[in-house]
Amino acid sequence: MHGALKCYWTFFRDATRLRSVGKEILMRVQIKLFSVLRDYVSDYDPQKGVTADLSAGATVSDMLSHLGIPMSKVPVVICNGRILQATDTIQPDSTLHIFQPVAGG
Amino acid sequence: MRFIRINMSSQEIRVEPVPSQYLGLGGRGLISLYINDHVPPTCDPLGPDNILLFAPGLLGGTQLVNTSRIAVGAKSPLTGTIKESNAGGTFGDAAGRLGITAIIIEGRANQDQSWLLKVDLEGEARLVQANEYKGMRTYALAEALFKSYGSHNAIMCIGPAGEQMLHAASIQSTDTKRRPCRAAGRGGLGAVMGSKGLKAIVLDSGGRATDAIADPEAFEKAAKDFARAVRNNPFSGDVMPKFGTAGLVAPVNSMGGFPSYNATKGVFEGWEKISGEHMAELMAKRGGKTGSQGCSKCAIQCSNEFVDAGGKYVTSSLEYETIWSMGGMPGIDDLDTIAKLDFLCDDLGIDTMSTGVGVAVAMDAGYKSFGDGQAAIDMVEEIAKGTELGRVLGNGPEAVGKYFNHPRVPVVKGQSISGYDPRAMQGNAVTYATSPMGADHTAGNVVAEYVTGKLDPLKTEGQVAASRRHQILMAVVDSIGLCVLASHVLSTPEGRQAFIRAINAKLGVALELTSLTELGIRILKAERAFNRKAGFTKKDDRLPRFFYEEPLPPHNTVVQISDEDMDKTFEF
Repeated sequence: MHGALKCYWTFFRDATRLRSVGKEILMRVQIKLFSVLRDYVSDYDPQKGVTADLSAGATVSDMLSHLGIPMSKVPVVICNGRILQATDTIQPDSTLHIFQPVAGG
Repeated sequence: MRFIRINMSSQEIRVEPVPSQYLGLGGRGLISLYINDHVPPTCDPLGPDNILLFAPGLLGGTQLVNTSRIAVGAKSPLTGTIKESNAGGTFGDAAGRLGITAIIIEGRANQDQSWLLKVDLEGEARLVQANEYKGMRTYALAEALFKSYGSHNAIMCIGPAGEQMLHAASIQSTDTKRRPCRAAGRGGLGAVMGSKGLKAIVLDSGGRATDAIADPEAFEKAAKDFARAVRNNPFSGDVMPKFGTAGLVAPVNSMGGFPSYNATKGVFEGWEKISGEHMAELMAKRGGKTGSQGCSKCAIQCSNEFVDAGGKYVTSSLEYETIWSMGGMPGIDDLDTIAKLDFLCDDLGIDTMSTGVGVAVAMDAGYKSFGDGQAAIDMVEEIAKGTELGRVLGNGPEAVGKYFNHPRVPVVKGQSISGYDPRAMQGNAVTYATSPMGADHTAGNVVAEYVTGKLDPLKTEGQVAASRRHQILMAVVDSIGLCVLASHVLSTPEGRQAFIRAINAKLGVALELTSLTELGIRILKAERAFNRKAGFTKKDDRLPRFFYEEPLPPHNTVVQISDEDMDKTFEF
């Protein structure tokens, strides 16, 4: 996609998502996706990850539905080395890593 | 149901029915009980009194998916403990199809002789002089043996490291593409095979003499349900086929538990360059393969074929533990270098984990700089040359630490930890410390409990119980011949039920889950009994001091499980 067009598209996509959140106070978080979860964000850039603007007080669950990642994928969210629960509140400016579950191998 | 017993001192071969006390056992369970009964606990692991066993799991040779592991066992020259190490590939299935319960190697051939054992389609076993293969690396050896005996065979063999009886030598197993790239890597069992004068075992893989199934109809139904559970599981059905075990690099680093720079940091700066996601991307571009089949009867397809920038084969299969030991530990963030090191270790027949950790210990001691990939390759090549440094490295990280007089050596009972730092995952501290096998990544890995939010990895609560549960479960899994990656479906009701139904249909019994727990406990008790007789006490069930004293960034925690709690692990 052409640079300017991509930029416009990203803005449009985010604006759409913000409207769907429907809250006035927003916070920006940085998200990195792993394994097949990358397929949920079109043109996902593994180096940069993706940013999302969430309503203040958004939970892990809210963030996952914002990204369109279904719970059937059993996503695991890690922030600062700690695994978050679905009901945990996300802090502003967090960097979140999202995986599918893993076990030893 | 038979034992093939080989006396290497006299080259006598006897085929015997399985004695009643070992009926209904397979894999690790059979091996551990047999060794505890028959191997003198204080014997020299490389002497004639040690016994080397190869045993498919109880369901090896059946149609149940992912049950083609081959368990190998003896008294370990690396740890001095009882040892079971299992490998994938095609050998376990071939052994099961020939109706072999165990191949038992006793005695020791004259040191100037080398032999190979051939078992044909009728189950006839014979020893063949193998002096022409002496000193051969495993890839060339496998190629020569497939040429001589045909592609319808499965091979387990040793390379130069095993012949040199180095304490970290592996036994390599051929995969579905006839490459000797699967390893019974841990515990130096390749050295035991070398000490016996046995270079290779070649089994016909087309046998039709699998032990009878008591209720074939019920077995078939259970096998179908189990296969469905494996395929529907997000880990074995989604993550593993696409990324293989390398898919663990990202989450373990994100959890701060990836031991790096000889276990001085919990996050490796270059981890995204050595992740499973990056490898999959790279292989897609270069024409390599991910999601390929390495083992017989596999429903997961976790294997990969790593190719270089020119599309030429480098190694198979590049796994998480090797990416950790050859990447994070020596600080190497280049998958091409790691792949070369993996191939080199497979070809020489030496454990990638012990070797990578040994390189990291040497680097930490100042011998070379962290991150120097060429230095790592040169060091591993020394093993092939049989130089002083090569012999030290080939004898494992503890030998390297002693040689360089360096105290930070991440081993328990002489065997290196795996790619989960015990300070960031306290339950794995318990498993490393107490496993009768020495530190081991498959003896009872607690990581799944953390990822699913059942347990906080940094707190002490619940860790001993979790380690106990997983150690018992793995003793069972390794006895059935089930792949650890498929074993995770046992945490689901449908997977667990199908698995128990398959065992019941096979044996014509009506076991409950508790019976399997009892089996696991029986195995662990036998292993610990052997270790006690070999001189091990609870003081050996401890981690090296630095894990209790040096905080690991980013969580800056140390191992906090008390000695008293460690000692409660086997209070069954």
